[in-house]
Amino acid sequence: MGKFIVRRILQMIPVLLGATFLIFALVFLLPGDPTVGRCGERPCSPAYVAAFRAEYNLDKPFIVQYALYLGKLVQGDLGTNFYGNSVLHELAIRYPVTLKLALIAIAFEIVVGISAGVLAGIRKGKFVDNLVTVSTLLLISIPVFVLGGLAQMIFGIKLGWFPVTATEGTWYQLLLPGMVLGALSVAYAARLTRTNLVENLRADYVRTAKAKGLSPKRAIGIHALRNSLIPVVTYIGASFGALMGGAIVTERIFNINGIGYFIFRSITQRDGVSVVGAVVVLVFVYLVVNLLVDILYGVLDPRISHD
Amino acid sequence: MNTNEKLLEVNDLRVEFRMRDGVAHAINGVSFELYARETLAILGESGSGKSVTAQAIMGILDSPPGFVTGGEVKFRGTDLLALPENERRKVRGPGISMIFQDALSSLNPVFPVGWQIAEMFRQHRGMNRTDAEAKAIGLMERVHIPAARERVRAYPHQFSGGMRQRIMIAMAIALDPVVLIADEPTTALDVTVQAQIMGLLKELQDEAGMGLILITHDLGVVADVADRIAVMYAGRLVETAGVVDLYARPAHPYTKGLLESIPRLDLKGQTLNAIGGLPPNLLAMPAGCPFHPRCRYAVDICREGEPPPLEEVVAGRAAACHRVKEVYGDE
Amino acid sequence: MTDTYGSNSQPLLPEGAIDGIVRQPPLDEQSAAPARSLGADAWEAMRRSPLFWISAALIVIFVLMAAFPGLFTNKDPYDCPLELARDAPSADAWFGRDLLGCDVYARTIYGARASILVGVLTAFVTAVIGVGIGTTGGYVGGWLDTLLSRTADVFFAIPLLLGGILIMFTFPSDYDTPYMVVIGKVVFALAILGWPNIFRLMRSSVMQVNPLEYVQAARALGGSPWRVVTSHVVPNSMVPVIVVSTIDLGAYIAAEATLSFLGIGLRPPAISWGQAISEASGLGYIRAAPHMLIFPSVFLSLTVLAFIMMGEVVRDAMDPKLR
Repeated sequence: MGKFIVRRILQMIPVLLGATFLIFALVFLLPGDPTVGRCGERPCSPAYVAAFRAEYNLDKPFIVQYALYLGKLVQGDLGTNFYGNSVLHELAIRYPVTLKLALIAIAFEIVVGISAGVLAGIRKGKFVDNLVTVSTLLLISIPVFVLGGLAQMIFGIKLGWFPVTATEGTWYQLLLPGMVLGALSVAYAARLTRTNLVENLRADYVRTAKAKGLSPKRAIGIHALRNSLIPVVTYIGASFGALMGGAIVTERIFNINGIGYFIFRSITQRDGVSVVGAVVVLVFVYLVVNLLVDILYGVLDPRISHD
Repeated sequence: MNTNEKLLEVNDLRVEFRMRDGVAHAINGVSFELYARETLAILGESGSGKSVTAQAIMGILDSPPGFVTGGEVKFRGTDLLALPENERRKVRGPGISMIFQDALSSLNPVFPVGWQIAEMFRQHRGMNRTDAEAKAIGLMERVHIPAARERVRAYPHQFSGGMRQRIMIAMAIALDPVVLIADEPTTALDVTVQAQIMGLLKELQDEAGMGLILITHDLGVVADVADRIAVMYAGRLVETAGVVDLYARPAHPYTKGLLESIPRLDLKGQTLNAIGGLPPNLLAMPAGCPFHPRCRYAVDICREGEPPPLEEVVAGRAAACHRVKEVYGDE
Repeated sequence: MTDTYGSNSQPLLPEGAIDGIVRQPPLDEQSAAPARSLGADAWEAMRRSPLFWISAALIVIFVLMAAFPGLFTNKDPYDCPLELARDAPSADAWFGRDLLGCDVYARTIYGARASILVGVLTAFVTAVIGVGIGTTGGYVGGWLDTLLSRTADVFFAIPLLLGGILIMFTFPSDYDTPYMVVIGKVVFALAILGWPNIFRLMRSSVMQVNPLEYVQAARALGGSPWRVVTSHVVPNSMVPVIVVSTIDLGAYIAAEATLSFLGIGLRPPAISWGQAISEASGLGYIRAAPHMLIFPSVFLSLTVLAFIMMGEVVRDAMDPKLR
C-alpha cells in the first residue's frame, strides 16, 4: 500500500510540473507584453513594469524563468500585486469561507446525488427514475451563474427561505450558495450512481448474493452499491475542478468574500498577479485532491494493483 | 437422513419471459424429482431452459422479465412457490444452495473471499465476525484450498480459476445444504481442473448426503458423476433415464443425436453425426413437437397439435416422442 | 470520466432464455425479419423518442437565430433609448428593456450568435485536434503515444473554467477588438483545454480496432495499415466523437457564457447572453427588473439543454446496452 501511494505521487509529479509549466507559458511566455492591462485601466508605470520584469525574471531564458517561478511557487510566494499586498496573504485570509462552501457542495453531492441515483437505479424505468433523469438533465443544462441568480431570486427574495447574500460567510448563509455550487455535480453524481447501479444489479455476484439467501436490502445495499460507488467517489473528486471554477461565480453572485470573489474582483480590477496566483493555487489544490482520490480508488477497488 | 428421502419435487413448472418482442416460453411444464444422495444431471444445449429451471427453483429469476407462471417446487414437501419471499429466502443457503459457471464474475470483486463465505454464517446464523471467519477458513480447508488461513483475506482476482470455483463451492456448502445445484460448474475451467472440481463435488456429496442437481451441456461430465439424467429441449424434458441406460439405448431422437455427436474411439474413422439446424426460437415455437424440424424420425403427427407428453418407456425411464417405439427399438 | 468503471462483469441475463431468443434466432427466422444494422436500429429508436425531436427543433431554431437574427426580430439591438431603461415587458418590447434601454428581446435574439459560434467552433476545433492526435497516438503507439498521452494529461489536469479565466485574462479584449477576434480568443481558450477529451476517446477506439484481423491483414499484405485506419477506424469511431462533441458543445456554450458573465469573455459592443445575465444579476435589478435576468437565462439554458439532450439521445440510441 505504501509503495502504491508513493508510485501514485511519483506519477503525479510530471502532471503537476506540466500543468504549472502550461499555466506559466500561457500567462508569461506567449508573445505580447505581460504587463499590458495588469494595472487597471491605465498603462503600467515604467517603475512597475521594471519591477514586474525583475520579479518574473523576464530577461532570462524561459526555462530559467520557469524554474525560478516554480521555486517561488513551491515556497508559497505567489507574488505581490500592484497594491503591494502579498497574494498568498490575501488567499490565506479568505480560504476558510471557500472551504466551507466547497464542503457544503460536496456534502450535497454525496447525500442528494447518491440517494437520487440509488432511487432511480432500483426503480429503473419507473416514475422516480424518469423524474431523476429529467431533473438532472435540467440541472446539467442550466449554467451555474443562471442557477445562482434564479435561486437567489426565488428562495432568497420571493420566498425568503434563505439569506440573499452571504457576506459574513456563516454556515447558514452559505447553505444556498453551496447547493447552487454543487448542483451540476449533484446531477452527474446521481446519473453515475444510477448507471452503475443498474449495471451492477445485473451482475453475476448480485445473483450470487440472492442465491446465498441474503435480503434484497443487503444484496443491493452492500453488494451492488459498494461496487457502484467506486466510480462515483472518483467523480466527486474530479468534480472538485468544476467546484473551484463555480466558486468564482457563486461567490460573486452571493457576495461571499472567499477566494472566488477575490479572483472575480481581481479580474475586474485587472490585477494580474492576483488572478494568476489564485488560479494557480486552485489548480494545485485540484490536482492534490485528485491524487488523494486516486489513492482512495486504489483502497476501494482491490483489483487495482498495489504492487 | 433417509437415503430414499425425496428432497425435491418439481411439478409442471412453467416460466416465461416477457420481452419487448413478445413472450418467450422458456419452461413449459417441467417435472422431476430428486432424492437424497442422488445426482441428477439436467442436460441441454444453451437456450434449452436448464439454467432457467435452476434459477426458478432457487427463486432468483430476474423478474421482470422472467415470471414463474405455473407449477410447484416442493422442497421436503413444502411448495416453495407458495411461500412468501421472506420465508423462501431462508431456504436459500441451508436448504437449497447453488454454484455458478463463472466464479470470477459470481464472486463480488471488492470483498475478500473469506468475508464472502463468512457472510453466510453472519446473515443466516447471526455469528460474530471472528467465529464466522474461523468457519470460513475451515470451509476453505474442506474444499482443499492450500494455505487457507493466509488467503482468507485475499480477493477473488488473486486466485486461479479452479481455486475460485472451490471458493464458490465452499460458500455454497457453508450451511450444509440439503440440495446443491451446480450450474455448469466446470465449463469455464481446464480439463484437468474440471476433473478435480467434479471429484470435490462428489466427495462433499458423499460426506453430507446432499442431493445434487448438475446442470451441464457436457455429456462427458455427466457420464462420470450422474445417477440419472434429464434431457431438456426447448423448455421441456424430452427424456429421463438412469445414466447407464440412457447411454446404452436412447429413447428420444434428440438424445440419440447428442450421443452420436460425441467422438468415440470405437468408431474411429467414421463421420460424426452432428444434429442439423438450430434450437427453435422461443418466441415462435413450431407447432407439434418442438424438435421436429431437426428430427430424422419426424412424421406428420409430429408437425401438428400439442407436443408429445413425457411418457414411460420402460420402468424408470420416460421419453416425449410420438415415435418412441421406433427410436428405442432402432439400434 | 466514464471509462473508470470498465472492469465490471458482463450484465447477466438468464443464460438459457436469452440465448434462445435474442442471440441465436434460427436462420430462417433471421432472413424473414428485415436485416437491421446498428445505425438503422439507432435511427428507429431515436425517431420514436420525443426528446430527439424536441432537441432537434431547438437546435434548428437557435442555429437559425444565430445565422439570421432578422428572421426573429426587426428591432435593432443597438437602439437603446436611455429614458426607457429597465422598462417591464410590454407590447412594444416583449421582454422589456435593459439597463441602457435596449430591447431585451432583440438583444436576446442577437445574443444567440455568440453562443452558437463559440459552441460550434470549439466543438469542431477540439474534434479535429483530438481525432488527429488521438489517431496518431493510438496507431503509432510506443514513445510517441506515451508523449502525447502525458501531454493530454497535463491539459486535462487544468479545469476548463479556471484555465479559461487564465487565458482570457492574459489576452484581454477591448472595445475596438473585432467581433471574430474576440470569438476566436474564447474558442482558443476553450479548445486548448477541451481537446484531451476527444483525444482519449479516439485513441482508445483506434487501439481497440488495431489488433483486429482485418487491420493486421492489411499490414501483413503490405498494404498501408494507415489507410485502413483512416478509411475504417476513423469513420467507425466518428459516432462516439460526434456524440461526445455534441454534449461538450453544450458545455462550451455554458463556459463561454460564464466567462462573459465574469467580464473576460465577450465584452461590449458584442452581444452575449452571459454578459446580459451579468448586468442583470445585480441585486437591486433582480428585485426591480427580473425580466432582464430571466429571458437571456432561459434562452441560454435551452440552448445548452438542446445540445446536451441531443448528444444523450444519440448516445443512448447507439448503445443498446442501456435500452
